[in-house]
Amino acid sequence: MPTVYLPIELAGVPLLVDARAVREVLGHREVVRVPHATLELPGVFPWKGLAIPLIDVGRAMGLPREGAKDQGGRRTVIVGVDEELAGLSADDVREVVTLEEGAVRPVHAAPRPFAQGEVDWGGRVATVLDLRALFASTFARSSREV
Amino acid sequence: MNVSETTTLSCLVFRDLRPVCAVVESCVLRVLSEGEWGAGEGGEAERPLPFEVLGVEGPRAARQDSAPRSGAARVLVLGTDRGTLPLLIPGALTFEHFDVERFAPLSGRAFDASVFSGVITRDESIDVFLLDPNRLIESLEPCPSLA
Repeated sequence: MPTVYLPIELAGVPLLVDARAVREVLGHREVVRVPHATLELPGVFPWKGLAIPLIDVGRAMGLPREGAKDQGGRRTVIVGVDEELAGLSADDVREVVTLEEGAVRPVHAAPRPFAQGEVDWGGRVATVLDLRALFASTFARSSREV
Repeated sequence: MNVSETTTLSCLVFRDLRPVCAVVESCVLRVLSEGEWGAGEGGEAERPLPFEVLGVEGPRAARQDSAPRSGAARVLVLGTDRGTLPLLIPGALTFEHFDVERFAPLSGRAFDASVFSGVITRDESIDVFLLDPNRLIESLEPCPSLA
């Protein structure tokens, strides 16, 4: 069964986000640091009457920090998993792509935290992001340290 | 705090803290100077909680200079479901009203243990973090034994 993904770019690394989880793609959002915030969850920003946490995906995945902004990228992707909402920071967002199930292979060439699979991506390897695992890890760490 | 039954949130705002914090007026039983607190009911037995328990920065850090604090510290006696809680707040203390539609709750389990219930927004940005005294007192209680 084909799946639609939203490609995002972060620190030169292509990541694929399951489009079913995407609520909205925004520009840069000013983030206010939450007291006792963690590095992976540096702050919150307002969205549709809620204060949404921003997940610093680059830091959570251990991607290179060169040129990275401390809080938020040029784009902010609002995603929802199991009724939890969060913003993902991204340097860029591309047009959605539809991939057949067989196109996503197990993680091998580019092992990273929160990688659910990988896809050949124009001579590079794109990582399919495991949002559920990312949420679980980031939020668990945050609630321990808040 | 039930914010759905009113159109305005009347708050005491701590503008010298970073981030700026506030508490709903109805949760504040009294505002005293440190001297008044020491000479009165608090006495030597109960010291007010320092503002650092909120995880915020104080006036000097907020301004990044050596300027003296703009106001003397005050003791806010907060009323909670479990009793009263004295909290020492330095710097300016203002009384402000916010349209309730500017209140945005902190979303999700990432903030389950936060002492803040939400934020006050202004023009698509966050202006103030709203302190929940009940959450604050819960955060100070020892964890239940796993035994």
